[in-house]
Amino acid sequence: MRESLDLFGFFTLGLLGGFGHCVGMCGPFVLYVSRRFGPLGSGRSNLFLHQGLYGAGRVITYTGLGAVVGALGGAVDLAADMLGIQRVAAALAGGLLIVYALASLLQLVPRLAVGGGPLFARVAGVIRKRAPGNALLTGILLGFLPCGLLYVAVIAAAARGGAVAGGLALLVFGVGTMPAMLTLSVVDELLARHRAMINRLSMVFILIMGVWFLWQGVGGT
Amino acid sequence: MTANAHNRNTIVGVVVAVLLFGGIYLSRLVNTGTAVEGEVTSGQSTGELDVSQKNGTMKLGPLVADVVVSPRPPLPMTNLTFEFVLKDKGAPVDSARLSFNMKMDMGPHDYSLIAAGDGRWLAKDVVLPTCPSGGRLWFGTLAARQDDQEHRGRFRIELARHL
Repeated sequence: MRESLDLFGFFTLGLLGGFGHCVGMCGPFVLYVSRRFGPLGSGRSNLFLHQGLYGAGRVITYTGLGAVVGALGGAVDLAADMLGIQRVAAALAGGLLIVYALASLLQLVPRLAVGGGPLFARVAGVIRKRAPGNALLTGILLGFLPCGLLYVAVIAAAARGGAVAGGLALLVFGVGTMPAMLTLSVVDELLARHRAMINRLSMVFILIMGVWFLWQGVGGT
Repeated sequence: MTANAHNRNTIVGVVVAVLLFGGIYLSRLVNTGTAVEGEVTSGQSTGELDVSQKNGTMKLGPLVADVVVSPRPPLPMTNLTFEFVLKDKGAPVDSARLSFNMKMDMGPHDYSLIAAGDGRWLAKDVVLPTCPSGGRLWFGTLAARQDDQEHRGRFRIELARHL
């Protein structure tokens, strides 16, 4: 039988996994939230506010997942049901990152706009209007992204015996992942906002990860 | 903001980034570079027993363990059973534990084994996910306690794809 994990174990899973895992996989979303909701020059408190809201959104989704698997007493049934939702979330997130990165690159490097630029800008404008309008909703949506570390936490939460215990476990796990995300956003704030080249490279990184997430959503794994 | 302030921010950012990614690199090094104590009698060129396609046998110090995985093929997010038949020399095995991890740290994923008699130890309802980055390879570590000594052996299992 699976050895149970206490609440501190869930927190450390999130905390250590956050630095060892989430920074790489969810890094582009941290950059996206910073760029989209914390405009240049708006201050570090504004950055923390939006990153906090984004993290809170993810925690809300995780808590819901924990409550469901805790009530079911197993993660296997939920996994099959979740597969479709996660693919849609991955495809939406990938599309959002691609559009955002391309639109930003067109602004940062106007030469790229030659040939199809205005048309693309119109298409991007339409898509961006339909993207979640605040960081909290973005976090709630992106909490559904397929994630190996989250799967492990969900499997462990299923053994907690009950909706409340399962939800609480994943709430603590989600909170544990937040320091890593906040640290990354501070690094981004210190570097990219004052160095145009790094800012452009960030957009290229977001673009590549967007293609990758879109591929995950459409092609599956 | 002045040029000096920009430079200071850049230096602080670089330092924090180096600490962050250096820490990640070190933690991965620790997680992938340890835990092999048992000598292995079969397996791939890496020296570890590979039970992805078929069952096998591995050594844990003075112990020999037959590793049986069911059902086949091993699929992600399904209930798997791991059976270990421990052929012990000397005192009987007191307890056994099975833990899993990937190259990318997935946190604690541990199972207590249940003694089923005749040297058989079972871990039922083992659920292994895949990493969306493409990772399907898990490393299992079997730890058996005998005479207050812990013997460990490591094997690998690559999960199959859903049809």
